[in-house]
Amino acid sequence: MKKFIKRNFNLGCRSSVLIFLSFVSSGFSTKAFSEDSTNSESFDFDSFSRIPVLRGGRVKPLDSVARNVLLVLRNKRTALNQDGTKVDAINWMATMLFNPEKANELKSFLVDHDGLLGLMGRKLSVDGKYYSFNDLEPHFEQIHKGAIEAGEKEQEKRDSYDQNVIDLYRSVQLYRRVMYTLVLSPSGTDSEMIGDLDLAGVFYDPKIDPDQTAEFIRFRELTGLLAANPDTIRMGSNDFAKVVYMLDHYSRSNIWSEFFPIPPELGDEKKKWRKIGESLVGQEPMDSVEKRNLDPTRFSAILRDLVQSNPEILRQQIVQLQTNNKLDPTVLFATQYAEAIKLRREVDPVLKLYENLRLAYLNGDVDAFDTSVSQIRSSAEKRAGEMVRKINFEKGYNSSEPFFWSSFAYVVVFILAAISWLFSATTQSKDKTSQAVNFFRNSAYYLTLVVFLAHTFGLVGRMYIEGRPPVTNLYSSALFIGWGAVLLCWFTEKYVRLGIASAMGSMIGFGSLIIAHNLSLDSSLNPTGDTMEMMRAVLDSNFWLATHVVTVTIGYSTTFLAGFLGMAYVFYYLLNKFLTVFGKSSNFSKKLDSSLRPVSRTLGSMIFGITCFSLFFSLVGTVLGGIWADQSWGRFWGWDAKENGALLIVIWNAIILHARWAGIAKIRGISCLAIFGNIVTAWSWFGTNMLGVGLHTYGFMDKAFYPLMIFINSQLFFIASAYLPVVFKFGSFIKKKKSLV
Amino acid sequence: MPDNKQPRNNRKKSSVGSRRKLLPWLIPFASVRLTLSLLSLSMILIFVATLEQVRIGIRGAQAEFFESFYGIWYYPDQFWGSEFLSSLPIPIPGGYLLGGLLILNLIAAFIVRFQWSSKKIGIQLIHLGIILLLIGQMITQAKQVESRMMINKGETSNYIERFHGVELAFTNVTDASQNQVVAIPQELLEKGGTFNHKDLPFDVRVRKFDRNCEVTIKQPDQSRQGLSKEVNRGVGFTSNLFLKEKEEDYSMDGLNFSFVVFDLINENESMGTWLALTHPAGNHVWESVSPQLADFAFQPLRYQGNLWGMTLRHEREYLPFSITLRSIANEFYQGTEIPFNFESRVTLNLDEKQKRDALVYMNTPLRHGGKTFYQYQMNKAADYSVFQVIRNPSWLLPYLACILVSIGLLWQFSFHLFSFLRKHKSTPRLA
Amino acid sequence: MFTTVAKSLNGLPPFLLLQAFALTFSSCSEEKEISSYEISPEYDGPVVAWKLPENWGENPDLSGPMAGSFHIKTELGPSGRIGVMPFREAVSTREVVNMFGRELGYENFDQNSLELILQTKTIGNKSFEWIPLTDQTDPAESRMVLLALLRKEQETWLFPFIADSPLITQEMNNFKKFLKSVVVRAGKVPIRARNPAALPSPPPAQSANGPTWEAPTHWIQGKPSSMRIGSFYVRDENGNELDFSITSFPGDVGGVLANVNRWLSQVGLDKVDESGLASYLSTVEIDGKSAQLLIAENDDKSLYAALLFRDDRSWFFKIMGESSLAKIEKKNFLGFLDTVCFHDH
Repeated sequence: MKKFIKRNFNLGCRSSVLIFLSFVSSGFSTKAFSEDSTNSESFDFDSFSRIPVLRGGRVKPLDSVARNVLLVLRNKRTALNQDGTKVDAINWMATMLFNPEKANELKSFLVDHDGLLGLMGRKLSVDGKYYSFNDLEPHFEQIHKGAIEAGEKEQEKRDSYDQNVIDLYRSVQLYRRVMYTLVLSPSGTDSEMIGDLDLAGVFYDPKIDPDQTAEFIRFRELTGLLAANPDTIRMGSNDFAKVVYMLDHYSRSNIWSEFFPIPPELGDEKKKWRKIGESLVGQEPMDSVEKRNLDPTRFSAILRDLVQSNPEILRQQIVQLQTNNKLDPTVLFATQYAEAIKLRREVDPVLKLYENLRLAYLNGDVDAFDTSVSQIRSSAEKRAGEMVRKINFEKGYNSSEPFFWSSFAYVVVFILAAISWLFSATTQSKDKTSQAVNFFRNSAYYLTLVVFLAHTFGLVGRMYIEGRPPVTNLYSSALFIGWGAVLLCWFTEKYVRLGIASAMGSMIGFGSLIIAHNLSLDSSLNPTGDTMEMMRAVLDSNFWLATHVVTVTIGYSTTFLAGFLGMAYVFYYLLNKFLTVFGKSSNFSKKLDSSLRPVSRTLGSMIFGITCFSLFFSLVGTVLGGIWADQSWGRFWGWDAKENGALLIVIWNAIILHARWAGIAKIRGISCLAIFGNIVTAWSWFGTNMLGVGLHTYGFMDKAFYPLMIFINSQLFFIASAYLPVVFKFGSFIKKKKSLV
Repeated sequence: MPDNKQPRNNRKKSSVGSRRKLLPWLIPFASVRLTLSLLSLSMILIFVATLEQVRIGIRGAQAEFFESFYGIWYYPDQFWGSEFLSSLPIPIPGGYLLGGLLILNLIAAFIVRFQWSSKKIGIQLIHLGIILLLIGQMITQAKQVESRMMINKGETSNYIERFHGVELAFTNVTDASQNQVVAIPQELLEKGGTFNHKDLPFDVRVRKFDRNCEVTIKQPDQSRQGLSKEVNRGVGFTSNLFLKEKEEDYSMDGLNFSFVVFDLINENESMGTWLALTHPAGNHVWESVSPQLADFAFQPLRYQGNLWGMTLRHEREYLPFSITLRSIANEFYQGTEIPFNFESRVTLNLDEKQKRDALVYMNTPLRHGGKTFYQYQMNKAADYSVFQVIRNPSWLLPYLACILVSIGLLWQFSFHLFSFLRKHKSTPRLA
Repeated sequence: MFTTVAKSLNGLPPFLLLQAFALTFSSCSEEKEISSYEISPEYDGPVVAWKLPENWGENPDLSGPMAGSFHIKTELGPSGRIGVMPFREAVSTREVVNMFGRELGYENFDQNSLELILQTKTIGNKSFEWIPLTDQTDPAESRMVLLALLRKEQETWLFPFIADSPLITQEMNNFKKFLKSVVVRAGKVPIRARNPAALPSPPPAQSANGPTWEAPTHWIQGKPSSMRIGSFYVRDENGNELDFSITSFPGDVGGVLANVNRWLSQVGLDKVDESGLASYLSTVEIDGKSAQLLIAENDDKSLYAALLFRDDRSWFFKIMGESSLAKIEKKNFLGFLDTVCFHDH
């Protein structure tokens, strides 16, 4: 019987790890990284999702844009159909870009604030929290008004309704911009004026024209007229008025689109990606509002002169005028107009390809769709070259979702470790059932390794895509803190196979991934939904990111680990005390009692060793930070909130170590000090950001305030409960005395 | 380990012992308990000072807590229980007190507690590094001067201005080739009194000075009020300004309008009372505030055939070299408002013949003549660049300290790690 | 080796060590003192300096183009006026003389008539053009103007001495001493210097297809500027005033909402959003085209405006001012809109 169990356990051990391995690796399968073979019956969305575009300063696959936008709109990386079934990100994106009417029916928005639901006359319990654009539309006016009123308040004075209404308003704007990225926004077109100027024939008419490019070609004909007869450029000329109107229209459409779908034009040294409007008329040289300050007579005179000169000279003139007249809207807008009229003579063929794609999607023409996708992709590769190198990897990385799987697996590790303690506590003889204990400890240990590899893949993947060291923002610091703690735990577990390090490591790993996930949802920290955002100039130094930021983050990570081991000790200690009082006779308590000394000795030395690590990394990291600050701001130390936070960690670790060396604190004291280290680290990590002062502030994170307070209080509770036995002892001591009297 | 256990080696024991015998009064200063209390107190100091930055800004918190022997903290109103606690002034030990005591504690520990042996060299290096860091920071706080240099594109500048601190400057501009400057620094203006100098043909009597004030421009026909009521000469007289007392703004971007009301005295007779007012962005900005106020950059005074200009400006330091700004670049990632580059191309003019081109950008300052020029601000539209200029004679100390501490830490902890690994290698399964 | 060092330390009382700390801190705060140094000139304003004769006084307020202004202390009080005027460019002597001559009743000087009164005087190392002018309007008047012009490379300095002729004669020596002491240097920045008489700029040319209109007769024609195509104002007997303007800009100038909100704020009304527009806007017809009419009435200020989009331009017809008067003129404003004609059909 025992044998059977044992064999079963062994079998179970291997198979459970195996099952998990296959489970995790399914996400990592080579499938994601290599392309699917095209299925002739449905659109090749896989290939479609690999179309490179530029958003947030970085070239990324359309897949990433879709996921990131949905993360902002719905806090998930998918949308929902009317009936509640899931629509994956890329499918949603295709609908948004090509079939707006249908997209407006998809549930793309998260509305879960009571105030907002009340405004819409909805109930969370009945209508849920996901809504479509059509659901929101009747309430836009109120949302807009609410957002403007909230926006006029100071940030600190906004309540949760204000923040939510602003977020929703921004979401709606973002949604609209995505929708009008490939189809020009109709906003701002004035039908009366179009009639007056006789422009109706220029605009795209789906009944007559094959696609939108017909309109662009007609626009080019209009500019061609002006380029051929510069004399017509004067106030009162109808041809000129037409061009000005269309130019305004296209310039405006740039503001109303979200990302840059058109790869750099061949020969463009700056490798600028373009929006449709930019491809047609270039970029506005300054804010459009400045147009009201331009002098029309001078404007048309300058423009006429510019258009008269030949293209080569014109190019030089434009550069010269733009450098010498940085504040003069008349001159600057004239240069944009001249470029649009004289230099931009062709309609970019990529526009045509995107139109083919749109029509193929609408007509359900699978072959045409797939052909257009591959044409767009190959033209992007030709034009953008190096910039699109990582597209396929990023697409694969997106679909493997390493952090999601890791966080799931960390829970499993914790459960395995917990089961191993149960077994070790309930069994009497060592040799017989210790195998069950070992089995669970070992599976937790090996599974930790597997998850750690998945976690590592997630980090390394980000590093490769960004071309940066692992920690670049608050989000990635959470990922890295978890990673570092898990690594150390795995090593500790390797030598001290108690299941404790595995359990604590999985707790920190899980916790940090949850924190990271919540950070990615924060609208102030991550407004674009892309956690791989570009680095500001001051931080743009891979050397210092790799040294200072990484060491300081390891310091955080190890301090947390020491704190969690401290918590493990307090838990163990309390359990022991509890059982010695209430369950003296049970085997469990005896066993526990006998193991108290060695286990606490081991835990004590683990906490001590890890605190040494913490001191080392936090001290070196802080000093490196000082040196970086000296390099870029000219002072080694500025008493900035974040710097002070790091210093607090250093001092606290030094206090723990000195307290132990001086023999002032024993194991319990050290554990409590280490738990307090959690508070210090949490303060330094998040608390300092909430102050809203200093150079390191990444954004005012009021949402994190309550979770932080709960965390701090839980740690204080742990520390207090560690001293409960002392209080009881004291109490019973007094009782005894009284009874004696 | 700097612990109290008696070392086994007799020779070493005698070394510590003989030191103890020699300097018995140092022993209490070397106690670990003192270290722990000082460290705990500095935790409180740093935490409180960080919180107070919200209220009084980094500069304010620095002056109140870090650059002092003690600071007074009022419990924040936003916190729980503030009704009872917020009116209570809580004294907090300041940076100089704790820093000084820590240095003393560390040095004492070095002398009467540490074993001077090669085995403990890691510990000694770490603590030596910490002492250096503390001393370096103290010298820095006392000696470091932060200034700025603003240059318009295509122009050249040969002086830097302090961020904080003003001076009342008199410049004799009569001569076309060489101008005499006499400047009275803020510290003296704050003391007040009458000042004279051999290069200044008249005396200056300071009536009022303050680091900040609230300025309102009144209609010329309205009656004169406020701090500059008695002014009867210069711009302060022709323009009707109403100055009201205002606390100095310590925050990082705090705008402070320093002012001074002063008399010029010729042979014990006052020639009149003037007002000088500093614009926080530089006195040249006054012109764009109101053409009437343009003279705050240069209030003319004709005296004995000479034309003097008077102004209360940020304290200036003229350099033996000059810097020309050739071009600036301020680039953003496409489609975002995230800057990825600020850079200024400059020429360093050492003298007539010797010139050197340089590029100043983020994380890459220009060092010359004991000063370091960092890219600080930039305005692409108005074509100017501002450098932060630092003179910090102790800048090398943290670097040295860093090296010492790193070596020490590596030494000590790798020693421990190996012994930990060695201990557990034989017994991988403990329970 | 160490013992010797330590021994020597032994004698050190603890307070000496503390004193060493105190020294490190005290040495950090340097004593500040008045600094004096020479720099190469950086001041680029005009430099004007002089020694005043003892019986001259300085006029406290400098007005207009004056860089310096003085009077002579006489028994009857301050009398006469001596000035220092910089000109950025080399103005002709004739322009300067005519400027003062006209006031004294001279006919305009030509080159010949000028030569008759023009002298050259060298005082110190400076050479002055010297022109005495007397009052021509009334022979009984003894008012006199003595002009001294100093020519430097790019600049001209004028020292007018205006007083009764006996006083001028009496103070001639002091005037010359004063001129001798004068140091003048025009700067790059014209702080107080202006050209004597700016030519009135020609009215901006009407664009070829500009509109015409008929204004009520009691509206007073204002000056059109580069911004304003038409400009009028209306006043009532209480001094209330309305300002009427016709302006035109290419494009939609930010759209109706932005413009309406800008105007609402000008009369102190709260901003509105798209939905709130309707409460202020109605439609009128201007020259056969539909335009938006804004009626914004507040307690003390009101504004009526018509916004017309045509030929890819925005046309604004706007009247603004005192509410009471605006209400009276509202009818005239609407009537005016009817008369606007663009002459293109």
